[in-house]
Amino acid sequence: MGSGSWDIMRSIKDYEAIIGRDEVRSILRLAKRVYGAKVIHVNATAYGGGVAEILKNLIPLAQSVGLKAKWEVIKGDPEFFKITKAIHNALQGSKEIRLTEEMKDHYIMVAKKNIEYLDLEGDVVIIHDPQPLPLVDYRGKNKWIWRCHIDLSDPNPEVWGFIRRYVIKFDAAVFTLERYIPDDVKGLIRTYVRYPAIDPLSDKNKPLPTTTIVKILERFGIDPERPIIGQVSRFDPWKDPLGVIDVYRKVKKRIKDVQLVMIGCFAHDDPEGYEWYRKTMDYANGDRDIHILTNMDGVSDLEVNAFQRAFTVALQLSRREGFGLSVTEALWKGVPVVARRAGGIPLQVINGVTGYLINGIESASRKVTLLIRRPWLARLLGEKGREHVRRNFLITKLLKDYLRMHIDLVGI
Amino acid sequence: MVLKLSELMVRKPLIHREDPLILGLSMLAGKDRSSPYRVVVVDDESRVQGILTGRRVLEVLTGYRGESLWLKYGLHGILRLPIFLFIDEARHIFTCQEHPQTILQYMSENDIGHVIIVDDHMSVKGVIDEFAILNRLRGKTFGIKVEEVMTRNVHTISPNALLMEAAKKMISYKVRRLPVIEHGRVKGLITITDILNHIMAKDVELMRYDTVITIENVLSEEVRKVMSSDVIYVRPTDDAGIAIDKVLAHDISGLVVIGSNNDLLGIVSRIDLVTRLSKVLGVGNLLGLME
Repeated sequence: MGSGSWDIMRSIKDYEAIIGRDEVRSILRLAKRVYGAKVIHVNATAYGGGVAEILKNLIPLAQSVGLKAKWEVIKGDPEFFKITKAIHNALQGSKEIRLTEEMKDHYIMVAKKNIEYLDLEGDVVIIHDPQPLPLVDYRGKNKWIWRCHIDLSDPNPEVWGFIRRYVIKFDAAVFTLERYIPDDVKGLIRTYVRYPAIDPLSDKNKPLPTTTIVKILERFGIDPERPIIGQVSRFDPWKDPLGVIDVYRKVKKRIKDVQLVMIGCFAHDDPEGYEWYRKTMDYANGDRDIHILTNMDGVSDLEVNAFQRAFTVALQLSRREGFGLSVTEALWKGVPVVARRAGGIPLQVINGVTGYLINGIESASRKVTLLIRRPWLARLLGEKGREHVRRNFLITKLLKDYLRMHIDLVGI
Repeated sequence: MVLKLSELMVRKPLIHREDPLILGLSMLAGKDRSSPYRVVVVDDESRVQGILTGRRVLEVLTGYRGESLWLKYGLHGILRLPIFLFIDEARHIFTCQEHPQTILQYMSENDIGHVIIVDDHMSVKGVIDEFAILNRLRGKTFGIKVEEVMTRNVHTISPNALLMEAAKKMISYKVRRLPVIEHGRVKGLITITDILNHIMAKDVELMRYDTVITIENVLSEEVRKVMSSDVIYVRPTDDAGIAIDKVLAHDISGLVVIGSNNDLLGIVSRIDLVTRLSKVLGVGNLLGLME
């Protein structure tokens, strides 16, 4: 693999119609202060999940404002990704996970091997999530940032202890929420809180003609005339895919023609994904109105975009969530979201304004039913959601955040 | 009476992006003590450019970039640099059409102390912050004790520590104030405002000397010389309304909570009071009390 790939040509000027000329000017002014700086982002997968999604769009945008931005992807064997998934789950709260010495050695060894393939000679190197962390042992005098996208508010102490030894070797760490910053790194490295964002011009979020949406729905056997509820997320216990089916079943008792669309993808760094996909399929029990789709069915960004635009209501029943970019995507498309209070979701779903925050399956099904039965309300909440995202969670804001961080580390 | 958004808005804390840093610092650390935690930085057409906070200024001055700034400009020069070099990205932006309940709910759900209110062209109309909300709750009793809304895990500092250490601690732990503790007792309180005021005073004092000045020089005093010894406190069993009235009467950002043996039990800040009271009482009920 080596470098992350993208075929996007993007200019900051393309965003003028969405964010205004003044905001674009303000970004260019910031970029001028670190013009030509080489910034290297490193993560574990070029496809699937929020981080790859962000980098795919952020890198060309950063290049368009004068940074030498680059995206590197680490290589690993299946064993490595099994270990890093265990680390991910442990950091997110699974207390029963134990890392054996062999597992730790393998994790370190694979990361070390990557040194041979990766370009880490940037002015700033940004490591995303725990998978590439041990690379920091081979850092030079350039500045290194750890961008942690996961919820670290209640980590498995043993696994965190192991990971922390790498984290404190960075110059700075960036977290999604204040409460995710572990107390025992404060004072040792500089910490920032920054929100992720979506790209309104990407295939996943750009405006689509209704005819395209209808064609895509029909291709997957979904009836565009009937209400659709859906969740877009990896197949993962934290996202509660079985809970999504429970909500659908409760709604179905009241609204007979409702359909459920669940979209996930099998990311390179997520070996558990297939197992949970199977569990979800089994739980759906052959219901013809439940559509469980993945990248293996030919669902790529454009299809996700079309499905989200066709949702009457989007669900996000995650019990743990870094930020919840699927929520941002749905809101941007004017779709109200019914979600649990996890991670950054309450920053996006304002109860009764852009969607509903719920505590369980029963309350979720009541709110979904309400929104299907009252299209005017769904439309109103959707419009509010879109404006909330426009003002606060677009990629141009994320670019400014990164530019300010680069300035803090290597600029003046 | 239904509360309007405009009745909650504070219009004062706006500053132009090209204004000198010292002007922003005077707004953040003004002598009247009713200083806002943050100032919204705008362009010629009042469009949001970012946010200036005391913590952000200290973060820059004590960080990597600070090293080059001190070397190139010295204290006097730094304080006259344009504000846009020190700002942070503006977040939590809402429009004037929003209902106060939406804003309060958002602040409460996310433990946020302020939102910026703009019009459809992103021109700033004002800020709603914890101070504006507490102002509407003056003289009320809530039946909720201070211990139910205070922060228990408090970071403290010794009076012998240097200001530099206090500044770094405030940046690392993202707090605005540190109780000063000696022999287990609260001796005083040091805040970001105290440090900013100290930096501005040093500017006048050090102008006379032709020496290279670093942040270490500027923040080399001991905490005891800069802290305020007159500590305003509440008891854990006091009603939260007493805490609100004290915060407003003394124009301060927070109070220490002291037990019967004068031991430090916690801190209750303006943000704690707004976000936790709305969680305990419910946003609708709190709004009812504000109307």
